[in-house]
Amino acid sequence: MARLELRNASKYYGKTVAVKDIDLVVEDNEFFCIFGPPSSGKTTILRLLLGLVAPDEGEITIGGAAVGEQGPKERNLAMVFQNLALFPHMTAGQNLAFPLVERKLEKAAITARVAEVAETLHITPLLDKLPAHLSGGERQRVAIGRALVRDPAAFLMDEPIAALDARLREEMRVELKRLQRELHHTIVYVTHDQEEAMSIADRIAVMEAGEIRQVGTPAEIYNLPNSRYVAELIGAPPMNFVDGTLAEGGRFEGGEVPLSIVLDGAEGAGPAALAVRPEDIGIDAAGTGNGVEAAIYEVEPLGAFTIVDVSLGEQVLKVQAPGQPQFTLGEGVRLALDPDRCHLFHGETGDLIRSAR
Amino acid sequence: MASISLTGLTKRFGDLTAVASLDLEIGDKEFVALLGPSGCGKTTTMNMIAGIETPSEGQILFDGRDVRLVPPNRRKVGFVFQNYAIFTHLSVRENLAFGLKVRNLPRAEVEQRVGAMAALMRLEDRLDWPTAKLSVNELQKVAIGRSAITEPEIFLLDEPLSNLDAAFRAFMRTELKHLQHQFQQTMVYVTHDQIEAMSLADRIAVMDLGVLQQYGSPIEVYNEPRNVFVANFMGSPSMNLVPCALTGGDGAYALDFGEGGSAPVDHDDLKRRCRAAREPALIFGARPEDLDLAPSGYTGPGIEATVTFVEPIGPRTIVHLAAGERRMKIAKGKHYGIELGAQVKAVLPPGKCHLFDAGTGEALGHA
Repeated sequence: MARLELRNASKYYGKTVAVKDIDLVVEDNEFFCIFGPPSSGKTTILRLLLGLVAPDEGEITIGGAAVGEQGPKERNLAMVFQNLALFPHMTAGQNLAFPLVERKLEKAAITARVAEVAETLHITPLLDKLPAHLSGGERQRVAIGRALVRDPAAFLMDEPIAALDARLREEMRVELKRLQRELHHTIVYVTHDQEEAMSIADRIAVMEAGEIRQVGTPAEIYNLPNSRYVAELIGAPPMNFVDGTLAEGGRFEGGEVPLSIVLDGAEGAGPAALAVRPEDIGIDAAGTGNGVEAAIYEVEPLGAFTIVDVSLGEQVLKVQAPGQPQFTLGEGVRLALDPDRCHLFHGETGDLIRSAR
Repeated sequence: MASISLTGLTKRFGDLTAVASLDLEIGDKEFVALLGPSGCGKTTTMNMIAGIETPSEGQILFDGRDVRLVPPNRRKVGFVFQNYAIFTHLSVRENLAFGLKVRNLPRAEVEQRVGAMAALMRLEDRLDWPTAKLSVNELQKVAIGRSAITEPEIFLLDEPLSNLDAAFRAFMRTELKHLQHQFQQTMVYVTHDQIEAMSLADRIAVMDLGVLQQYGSPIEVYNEPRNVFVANFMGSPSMNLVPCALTGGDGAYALDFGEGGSAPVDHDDLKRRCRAAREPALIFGARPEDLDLAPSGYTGPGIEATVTFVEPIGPRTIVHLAAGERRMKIAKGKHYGIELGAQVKAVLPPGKCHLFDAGTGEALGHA
């Protein structure tokens, strides 16, 4: 398996920027996620790597060698799409064998390789079935298997499990991770689902409008987002933001919200946004603790935890409380905010002023 | 006032039974979610309530009155679909006002109600925009507002949030719930997303293959699933469902987890469930957040397993375990550190264990 690199790569379609100045290294044996909203350039990066389009600027290397004008076949990368294109008239086994038949391998070698891959993916019992007789998850496995038989230099996956239902997605992402670990593959994986990216990736690149905003491990991206943009995209329920003003000495005052808090290490003065994750806010009964007074707006019980929506001035904040606590609508509570769990972003640019500690 | 009562409601399309003999009482001002995977009959049920589909059998009553002969436009129901139906040649204001204008309401009242709805949906600064310029999120707000503004007695929503992005979905969930608390309409909400159903509904009707599986409050359905289907469908990550065999008797039971070892049953709640078993082949159930790893030196009952995968997803860390072919997940807090390959024991949590008959899938010994 191979290390992949994009250096200063840009791609334009007419005046539209698809991706701009992409510097990205995917290490050998790394599970690397490209995450971002629709049209942020995720798929363009895959297409550049695959050789379906050539960069207008910059360079791409695979396994240390510049690929230049090489076409998709010479690059030996395997692609798995969301819409798995299995041949409906061929059995699962014939679908798996197809890339090898196309390469005119010997029959015995093909049979052995298909058996080996089927074993790895736990699909041996399915080999004689037609795609129409397979479940969505089984079809996805066959599609991945078909990419796997070729022994490619790296895998590129474009939302490969997005079309499956929630339960199956949960299973498949564990399965993909297991495969990657056992087979030591390099995988570049595109998704718009932050939970999927967090769960599966060794590292994540967060994209915005054709550019990379942050690269890091899931924990780094979640705990230390480098901009309001990244903070907004990662985490469910989403992070809370309170717009206000930062004064000298690190004191933040909410604008439409009666909230005042001192953040050590927050320098400068001007418009700012305080950001805190729902699970980092505590709820105390009214009259206890020394937190900010708020009122219960709505309660969303989710079983393992409860999302408590509280109104604070003109704003509604989301608090994620463990377990199944009971509240009455309109009830007064106090919110416990730990300055060390709060981030501060610039009010206009969204740049980071100060991280949580 | 608008309660909905469904009795023996059945819908067949040729040989296919989409909804089978459904009995469901939806109270006045109640928020009920029809929840299930695709093909479970939830949308067909809603379409019959709306009058878009005619039942093959059974009865639909609104406030005790049979609505069989009442056409859709006279049932006083409001509709919001996944694919927001709005007039693209009209502005936001004209879209919001449409339902009131066709009812010939005085102009001043129309203006006042449009203003109030725009404020509620935070669309004030979009009122004079052509809808073509709106984002997907804003379009769905207009669609919901356009239907809500006529204040129908019954509000039917079919997956209204599923095209929206995650953060906006979380926001709209809260706002929809708040809207319902303000307008006090009877809401029927179709979704395949258990999180939406849990967070929004007063009661959830869980459906599968046209059959009602369970009807109860979110917490009831979550804490006391009536069968394996409901147990597996509610919650994320899903409940651990581990095959086991019941051994022993006379109150001295044990659950045999094969390569996971045999766990003596030592608390009363679980004993009671064991006593209800007719066959030894059972499925043991426990939510990932209720299972815990035994501290070192623990000698009590549990399932022996190996750590196979650790998944950090934001506020939680999911630890995956394997005991031979049996798989389990345990939900721990942020930054939970554990080695892959570690040998551990999952403790059976007192009062939070479920048992199901492996043959029928029915829950055993529910209170």
